[in-house]
Amino acid sequence: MDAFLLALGQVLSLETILWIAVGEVLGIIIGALPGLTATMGIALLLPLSFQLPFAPGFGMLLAVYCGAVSGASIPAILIGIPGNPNALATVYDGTLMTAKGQASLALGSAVLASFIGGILSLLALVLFAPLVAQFTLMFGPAEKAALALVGLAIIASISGNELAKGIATGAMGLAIASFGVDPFTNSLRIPFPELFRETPMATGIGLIPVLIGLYGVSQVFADLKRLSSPPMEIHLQQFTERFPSFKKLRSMWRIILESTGVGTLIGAIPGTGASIAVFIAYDRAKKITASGKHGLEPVGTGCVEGVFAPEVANNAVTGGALIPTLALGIPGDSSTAVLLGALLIKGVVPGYQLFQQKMHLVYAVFLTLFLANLFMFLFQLKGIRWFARVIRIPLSYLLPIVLILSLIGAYAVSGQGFTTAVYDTALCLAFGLIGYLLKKGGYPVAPLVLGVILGGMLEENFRRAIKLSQGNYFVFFTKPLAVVFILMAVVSVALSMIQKRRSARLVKNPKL
Amino acid sequence: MGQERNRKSLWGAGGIILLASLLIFYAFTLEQQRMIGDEAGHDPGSRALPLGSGIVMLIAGLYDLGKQLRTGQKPRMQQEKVPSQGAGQGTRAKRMLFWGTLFGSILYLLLLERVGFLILTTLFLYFLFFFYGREGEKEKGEYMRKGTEKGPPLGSEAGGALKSSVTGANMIKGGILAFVLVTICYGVGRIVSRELFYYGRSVGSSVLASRAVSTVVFFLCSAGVYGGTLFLGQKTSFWKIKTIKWSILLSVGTALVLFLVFRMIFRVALPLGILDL
Repeated sequence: MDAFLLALGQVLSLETILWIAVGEVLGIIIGALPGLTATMGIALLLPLSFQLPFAPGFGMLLAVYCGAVSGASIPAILIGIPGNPNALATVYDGTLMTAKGQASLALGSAVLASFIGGILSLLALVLFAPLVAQFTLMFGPAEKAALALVGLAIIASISGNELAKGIATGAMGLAIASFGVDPFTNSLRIPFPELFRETPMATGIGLIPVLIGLYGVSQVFADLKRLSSPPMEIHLQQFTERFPSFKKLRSMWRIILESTGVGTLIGAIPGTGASIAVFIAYDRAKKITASGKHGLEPVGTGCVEGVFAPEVANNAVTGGALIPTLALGIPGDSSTAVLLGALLIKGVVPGYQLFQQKMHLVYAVFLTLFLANLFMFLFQLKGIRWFARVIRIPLSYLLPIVLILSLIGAYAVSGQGFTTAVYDTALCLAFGLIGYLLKKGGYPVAPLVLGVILGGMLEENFRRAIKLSQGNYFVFFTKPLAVVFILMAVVSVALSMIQKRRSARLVKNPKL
Repeated sequence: MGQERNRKSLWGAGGIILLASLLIFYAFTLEQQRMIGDEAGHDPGSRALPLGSGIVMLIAGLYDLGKQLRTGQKPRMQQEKVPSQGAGQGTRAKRMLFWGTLFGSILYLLLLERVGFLILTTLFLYFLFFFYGREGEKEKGEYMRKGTEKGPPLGSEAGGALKSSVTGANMIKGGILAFVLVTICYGVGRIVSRELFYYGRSVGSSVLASRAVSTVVFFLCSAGVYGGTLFLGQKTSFWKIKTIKWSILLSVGTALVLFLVFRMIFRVALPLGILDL
């Protein structure tokens, strides 16, 4: 109870509420702008959150996350272009509703659905995160190392089109994580240590510059080719009827529950994300409404049901993805990977100890997520006309701002040391270039990020496990939980290979 | 009939193999260190992670190379799957923008301490907004060439006037104006807030001498100068060159906001450089 009251006091302060509001507005704007993602928004604001206490700082990032996921529905409905992949499934029925003159109903339904999905998944987070965290008490070093491997394997197999490329970038991330100092002996692990011993390079490669570079700077380089795209024409209509009737909402109970379940579950699986959940939810809703009974209109014909299902699912991912992030230290998707980075930088180590010794921080996360969802609902509803106008902002104005925000954000991380600040900024630029080249070459970036985040956990626990077992490298196969995790990694990789081979065969021979 | 091998894929795979080889070589040059008290040598040592990741990268790279050589598949660009909004092909102008942005960013880093955050950021942003904006306006230029409702054909007097106004000389003038504007905004804000601070200290007023009030006063003074320039600029013909006008306003505005947030509110040590009086 004390922990809850402490968290309540921190969250209900003016500072926290203000920063959550700021994060929410920025998040909705970022979500509404095609090409800018929630992950990028969180990465850009990381340096700002670094300067704030935990509750307002992390609350702001959560607000950006919720806002960006929800805000992506605005262009999806109005112009048929999703703000980010989370809203891909909303495009179909959303644009049909706009064509019928029901844009305001579609937008209002999307906001309401996002709110419902967010709150229900928050409930799941509150219920299940402590249970999962308690489960980690059974983990020794072997289990933890195997868990890190699972996270990497799943994200490598799901991200991108080619498994080998995902594995290569994941390994690259691990190599980057090893740069700097050995965690056990403090010996330097840098090239030419005699030369660079006294430079910032000796501290290794910081997480924030990597994240900002990979998601901010690289996006600027990648978006340069879209500069001369024609401006988007949006016809802002009268926003009158905003919500479906209560009777309609009641008839959609099954869609709401299933979409919430899908979103929360998919979000809780490390490495997956909303872009998968929305299509599963949409598909489920299609099957539920196919008969046209119980007052439901068939999904795919331009109806509220077709907007509700994916929007409930994509915001349900936000709570679900935080379950493994807080309980296991394994991010649920790329946005929570950056959020996990924010936690680690603040010295908040996820896992059982967090729930035992710093429960007030966990409550603070729950409460700020609730506020973030509430603000998302209120702001998006009230400001729908203004957020819709944001889509008209030319890319030529946005890209320089994103670039300078990335560079200065990386600079600001070190705070006072000029040399370290310039080193961090140079790293940010370098990783921006690396990220751009990786994307151009068809290599996914998410495994690299996860490799950087999990590399430390993997190495420490791997080496501890081997030492404790007196040099037995097969110790991972003698612990049941570790075996389960290794099997999960193998199954994930195998399934991915099978699926990709099947897709390749279908492309070659569509008749199959 | 084989598919045409895509050079980019091969280069990518080759790059990964090269990186992996360098990583493995680097791992072997590291001094193998073990945990304290590990006399029996059970700890895999400090080489474990770099060596292991290098080997995995090498295997993945070789597999990918083998696959590319067998199938000759083109890489699918790893963008998040947002439908294209008319993304154009790589053109010479886009390539120049890319290299210009990259080298400009490097120059920005090198000159940051000497020139100072405010001035350098303003100038860097000004040129980015200018060149990006000009590239973005090309689509509208196409409309103008066709003489549609977007504007008169380029051959006409109005079209000719527009084309000739975005020149190198005007670009330089705009850069100088941006430099002057940000200097004045900073100067006025700094002088007023500093005088208010000293006055507050002299009369023993903790409110007037507080950081919050200084920040607010700085913001108001800078905003006043900025707003005044915006208003007065309407009367000049130079302000009618849209690309330059918005480049100046956005670059100065963004630099000032970032300065306010990071330096004045969060006390990040952004160098003042030339403005360090």
